[in-house]
Amino acid sequence: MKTDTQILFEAYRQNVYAAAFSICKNAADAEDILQETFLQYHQTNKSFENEQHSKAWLLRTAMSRATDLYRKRKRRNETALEDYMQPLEFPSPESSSLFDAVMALPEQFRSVIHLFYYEDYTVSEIAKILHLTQSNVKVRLSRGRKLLKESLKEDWNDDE
Amino acid sequence: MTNKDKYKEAFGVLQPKTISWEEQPMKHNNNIRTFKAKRILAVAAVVVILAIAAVGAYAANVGGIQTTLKTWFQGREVAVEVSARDDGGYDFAVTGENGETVASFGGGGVAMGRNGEERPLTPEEVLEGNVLEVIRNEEGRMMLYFRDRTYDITDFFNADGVCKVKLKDETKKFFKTIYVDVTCEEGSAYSVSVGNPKGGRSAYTALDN
Repeated sequence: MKTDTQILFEAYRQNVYAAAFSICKNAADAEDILQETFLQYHQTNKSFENEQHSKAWLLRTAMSRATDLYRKRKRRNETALEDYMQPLEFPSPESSSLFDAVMALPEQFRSVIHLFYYEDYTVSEIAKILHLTQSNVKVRLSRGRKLLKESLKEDWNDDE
Repeated sequence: MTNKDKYKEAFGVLQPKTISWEEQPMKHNNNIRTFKAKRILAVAAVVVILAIAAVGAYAANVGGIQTTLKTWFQGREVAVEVSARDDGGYDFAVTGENGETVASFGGGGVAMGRNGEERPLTPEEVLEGNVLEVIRNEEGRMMLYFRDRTYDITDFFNADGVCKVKLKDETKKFFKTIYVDVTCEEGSAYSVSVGNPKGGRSAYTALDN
């Protein structure tokens, strides 16, 4: 089966955009990746088991594109890391600090952290989406959490 | 609040400007056409070099009525519906097993005869320029498709995002070697150039030794 692109776009555009942004740290790039990802979905012949399978594919495709772009910009020193904060209005200073702390994480931790904390995926699901081993996902999650705790201190709980 | 609640609150501020899929199709279609057009130009150049004699059969063959041809699409042979456009070009729709459209693109071009006369390319000639395709797949790998052949060229990109590869087209009597330049551009976009080697033949990695 393949869910209609319009339906998926309405349902998951924010998820795909946030996933891309969490990697590439740039609103314009994330917007491009959002459109390119849905265009790729629209054109693919791939068959999907259900809507959740489609969503996982969209997130993986967007994150993969964002990773490519982020690494390319990093090689060319094009990424202005401070710019991403300017247009965003956070509901509280704590939210802003958390966002900043996540953006400061190494790239390989951000994708795992985002899928776990924002998309509620399990370790095994993240492993499948990112084509990593479960132990690799656990290590990245653990190191990412440790860095967030060091940065946010009491604003980051000891729960999962 | 749990960490997940805090995270969702923080990242919930990220909202894309694009609010509807329907806003995008024209932009996407134009992108596809632009991308294909680069390769069509390469085909036109080859046609000029070979100085094929002009023949009377071109867009009028189709005459606005849809025709079905065969072509290569991502390593497999598929049916493609051809519609002539008013500007002398064509719209192509790749159809799936059940007749549904799975991809579409446009293209056209001009061939020059021995005496300098011009004629529009036939749809077959335009499609011949599309047998080489480069796409980024869902795993993020850059794949090059040429007729029924598939190559993963991801590891051939240099630090500047440029990939130079060459491959053989055994269906041709002359100009058997095809030189391909793939260049990463802004965003996740990339351009594909097929034609004469840039920077010397030795700069190109052979895909089929």
